[in-house]
Amino acid sequence: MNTDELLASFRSDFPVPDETTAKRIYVQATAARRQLARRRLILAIALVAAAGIVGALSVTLFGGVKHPQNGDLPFIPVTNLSFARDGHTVTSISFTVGDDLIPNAMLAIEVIRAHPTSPAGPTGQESVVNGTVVFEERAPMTNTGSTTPSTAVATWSGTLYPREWDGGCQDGLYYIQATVYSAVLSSDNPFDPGTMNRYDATGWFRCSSS
Amino acid sequence: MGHSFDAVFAAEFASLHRYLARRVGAAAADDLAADTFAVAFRNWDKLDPERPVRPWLYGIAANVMRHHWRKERRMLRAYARTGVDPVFTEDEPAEDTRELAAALAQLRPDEREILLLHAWAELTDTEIAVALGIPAGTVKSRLSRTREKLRNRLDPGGQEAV
Repeated sequence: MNTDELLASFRSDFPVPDETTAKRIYVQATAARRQLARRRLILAIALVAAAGIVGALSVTLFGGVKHPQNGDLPFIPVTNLSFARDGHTVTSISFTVGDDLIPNAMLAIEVIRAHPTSPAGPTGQESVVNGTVVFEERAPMTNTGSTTPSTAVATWSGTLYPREWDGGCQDGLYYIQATVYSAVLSSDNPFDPGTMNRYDATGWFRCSSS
Repeated sequence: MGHSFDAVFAAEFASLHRYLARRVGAAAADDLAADTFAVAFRNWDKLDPERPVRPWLYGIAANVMRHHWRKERRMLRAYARTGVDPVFTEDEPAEDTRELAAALAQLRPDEREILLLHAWAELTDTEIAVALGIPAGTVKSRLSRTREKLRNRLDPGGQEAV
């Protein structure tokens, strides 16, 4: 038996759910709408209120670079950003993301490469439309259990490797965007119109230079 | 033509539940399937009627499943270690696939996600790309890499063609 066949047969005799289970889950799924809508409204109110409080404090490592997204709640800090290099080439990038509002959050990470002719400046805001997403990953964040205001309730720390990006590490300008969203209360796609998310981004950096 | 939620539930529930149950057991699959269809139900009006619903549904399931990655890995490791698969109840015999369980547990969660969407949910590369919101080329290369990794772990130095 080859690997594919072995994998296909692994737990393949697991029974299909019975009709009672199907009915119970159908009721659960369709009854959840009102409850979820109410929780979403409560969260929306909390987010709007908190955004006003923290707006004045939204200073990130790179000065709060802001890129077009849905909504306008740009306060999650990307911190502890660390580049490892081999000569003039970036080999890995470690950083931490912390969000102070959304527990049980998901993190969407995108690496964007600027189009070679785009006018990427110190913040690069003007060239976002000319960028290409070369890497994306979604990961669950870890709840900290913190109840102290303005401290992270969810965090993520990790490392990105430019060799895994589409096209690898090129002589060009890149930035990393981190978007925090609630997998429970938001759409399954954090970038859908109307989905509540919060985001931060690094400044532009050059991945490789000769 | 648009999809009706009831028709999609009737067509997809059993296979989706079974897919999730194979990953984390029947009890957790109940919750995960309910969460998946709850998200689908409340976003039903956002679904493009021209697009296939199955990848969209499995994309939601993949998001919901992310909170259970550690549990899945724990269960695979437990099976590899003890020979008793915690996914099954006691009276259901399990094949001796402990090495496979150990190899699956060693994969990165995103690798396991793509591999099992392909092998167990039987989604195509394109459907997986839609489900996970990543380019089809990325799916193809990651799937190929993951299968090779799995093969090497199961049969180091072997000749098996995958």
